Amino acid sequence: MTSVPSIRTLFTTYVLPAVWTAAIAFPIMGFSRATAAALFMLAGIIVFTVITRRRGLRRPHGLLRARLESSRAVRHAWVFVLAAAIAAPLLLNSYSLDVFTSVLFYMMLALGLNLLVGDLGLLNLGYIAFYGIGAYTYAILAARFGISFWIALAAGGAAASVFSLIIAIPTLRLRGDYLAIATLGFGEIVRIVFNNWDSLTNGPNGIMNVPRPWLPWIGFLSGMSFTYLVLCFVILQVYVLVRIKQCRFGRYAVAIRENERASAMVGINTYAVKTVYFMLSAFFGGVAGVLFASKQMFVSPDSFTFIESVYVLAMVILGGMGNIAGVMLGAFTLVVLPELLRGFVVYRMLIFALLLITMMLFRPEGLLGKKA
Amino acid sequence: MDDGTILSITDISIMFGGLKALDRVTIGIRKGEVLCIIGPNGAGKTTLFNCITGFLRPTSGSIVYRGAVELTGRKPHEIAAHGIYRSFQNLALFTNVSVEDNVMIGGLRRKEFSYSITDMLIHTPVFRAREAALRQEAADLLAFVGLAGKKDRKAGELSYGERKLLELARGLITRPQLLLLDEPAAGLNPTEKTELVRAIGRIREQSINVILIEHDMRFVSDIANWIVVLDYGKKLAEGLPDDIKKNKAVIEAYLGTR
Ligand SMILES: Nc1ncnc2c1ncn2[C@@H]1O[C@H](COP(=O)(O)OP(=O)(O)O)[C@@H](O)[C@H]1O
Ligand SMILES: [Mg+2]
Repeated sequence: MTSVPSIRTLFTTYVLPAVWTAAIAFPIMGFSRATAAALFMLAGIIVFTVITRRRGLRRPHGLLRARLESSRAVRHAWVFVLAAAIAAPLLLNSYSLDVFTSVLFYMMLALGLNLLVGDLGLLNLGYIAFYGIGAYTYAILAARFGISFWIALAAGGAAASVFSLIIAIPTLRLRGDYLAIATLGFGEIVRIVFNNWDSLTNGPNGIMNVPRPWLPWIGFLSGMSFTYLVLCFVILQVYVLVRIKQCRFGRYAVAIRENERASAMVGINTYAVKTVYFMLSAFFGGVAGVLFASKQMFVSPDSFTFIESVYVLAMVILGGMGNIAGVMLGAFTLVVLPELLRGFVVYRMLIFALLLITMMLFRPEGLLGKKA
Repeated sequence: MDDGTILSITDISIMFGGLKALDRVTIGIRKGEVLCIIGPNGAGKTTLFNCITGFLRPTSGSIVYRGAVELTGRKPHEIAAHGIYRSFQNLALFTNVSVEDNVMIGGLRRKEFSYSITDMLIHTPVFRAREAALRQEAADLLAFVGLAGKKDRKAGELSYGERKLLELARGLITRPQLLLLDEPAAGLNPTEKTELVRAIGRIREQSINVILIEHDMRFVSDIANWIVVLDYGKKLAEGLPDDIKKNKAVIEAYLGTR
C-alpha cells in the first residue's frame, strides 16, 4: 500500500518545519546559522521518515515480530550509530568528550524514564530524584566509608529502587494524574533533604572528593576511559531494554497502557507490573547517578532540580515515547543543541520551548515516532 | 463439596448510593451448562458480571467457585487466574496493537508459554519455542472465530462485530473454564451472529461453562439451556427457555418495557 505522498504532506512534513526552524533561529543566530539549522532539521526529518517508512512497510503492527526480524535498514542504522559511538571518544577533544559523556548520561536517564512514560504511559515529574539518590549513595558510601565503586554502584541502583517504592506503593493504585503530582512532590522533597540534612549530605555545599571508578589493570578511570565505561553501561541498558520489550514482560506494559481492565481480565497483575517498572526505571536512574557522581567527583543538590526532570521528560517526548532509538536521539539532540547555541545561553530555554512547540505541531509523535 | 456446581452465587446485593442494583440474587450454574441472563436495560446484568469478576465488591452475599473458592473480595487478575474470563459489553481491546498480539497477550500468563529471565535475555531455544507455540495457538484461535485473515491489522481497525469475536478469541487463549460474555451478539450482523453461535456451541463441547447476557430471544433459545431473568436488581424468574418464553411475569416486565 505504498502511496505517493501528496504535495500537502510534503509541505507540512518537510518545508514547513524547515521554514519554521529558520524563522525561530534567525533573530538569535543570524542568517547563515539559521539557514544551517533549517537544513539540519530538514535532513533529520528526511532520514527519519525514510527509516520509519521502511519499517512500517514490512510489518504493520506486530510487537514481538517487529523486533525479532528487525528490518535491515534499522539494523544498519544501529550498527552505524554503535560504531560511531565507539569511535567518537578517540576523535573528540576534551571539551567535546565532555559533551559526549553528558549525552550518554542523559541517554541513560531518558531511557530509564521512558520505561514509565513511554511504555506504561505513567507520568513521572520527579525522575531526577532517583539520579540524585544514586549519586548521593555513591558519594556517601565511597567518600565517607571508602566502599569500592562496584559495590557502591549496585547500592546506588538498589537505593533508588527502594526509595521509588515510597511513591509507587501508595500512588500506583490511583489514576495517573495522582502519580504525576506525587512524583513532582517526591522530587522536591528529595532535593530538600539533600539540601538540609547537613550531617549526612553536607547541605548545600555538597560532598567533595568523590572517588572515580576503579578497574583492575587500568586503575582509576578518567577522561576517555571513563567515557568508555559509561558507553558500556548505555549499551548494556539498551540491550536489556530491547529484550524486555521483546518478552512477556514488555507486552504486559503494552497491555496495561492500552487497556487496564482487559489486562486484569487476562490475568495480568497490573499493580505488580507497574511497581516493577517503577523500580526498574528508578534503578536505571540510580545507576546513572552513581556514574555521574564519579565523573564530577562532587555532588550537590543543585544538580537535581525540577527543571532537570523536565529536561529528561522533554527528551523522551521529543524522540518519540516508547521508542528506544527515538529517546536516545532526543537525549542527543537536547544535549548537543544547547552546546551549539552556547553563545545564546540566555535564550536557551526559549529555544527549547519553541523547539518543543514545533515538534508538537509538526511531529507530535516524536522524531522517530511512537512505538506500540 | 463437588456436586457439579461450577459457580454458586448466593444472596448477593450491591448498592449504588440509594439504588439497589442487585437485590439478594441467587444463581447456580451447573457443569456443562450455558446459562443466559436476560432482563431489561439497567436490570443489573453487567453489575452481576462485575461482582463475579472482582471489578465490584458486593455489599453482601457470597460467590463460590467450584464449591471451594470464595470470589468476593478478590482482584480481577486473581479471579482470572482461576480460569474465569469475561468480555465487556462495551469492548475492552488493546486498540493500537495488532489483532494477533491482542490474542497473544491473552496467553502470556499461561504456564506452558512462560520462560525464565535468562531465556528472555539471550533468546534461548526455549524462549523461541514457547513464543512460536503461543503465536501458533493465537493463529488457531483467530481461525476459530473467523479472523485468520486479519491478524496483522490493528484491533481498532476492525468492525464492531469483528472486535467482539476478537475479544472472544483473546478469552479462549487464557483456557478459561468459565466464560462470561456480556451481550456478545449485540451489534453483530447475521453472518457474524451465525459465526458466534457456532463458536459458542464448540466452546461448550470443550466443556467450558458459559454465562451470557443477551437480549435477542431467538439467539438465546438457540444456545442456552437455562435462563435467569433479572429485573430491577431482583431475580424475576428462571427456567428452561421454552418455559421462560411463556412466563407471564417475564413477558410483562421484560417485553413490556422494551
Ligand atoms: N459503578 C456504578 N456506579 C453507580 N451506578 C451504577 C454503576 N454500575 C451500574 N450502575 C447502575 O446500576 C444499574 C444496573 O446497571 P447495569 O448492571 O449496567 O445494567 P444492565 O442490566 O443493563 O447491564 C443501572 O441503573 C446503572 O445506572
Ligand atoms: Mg449491561
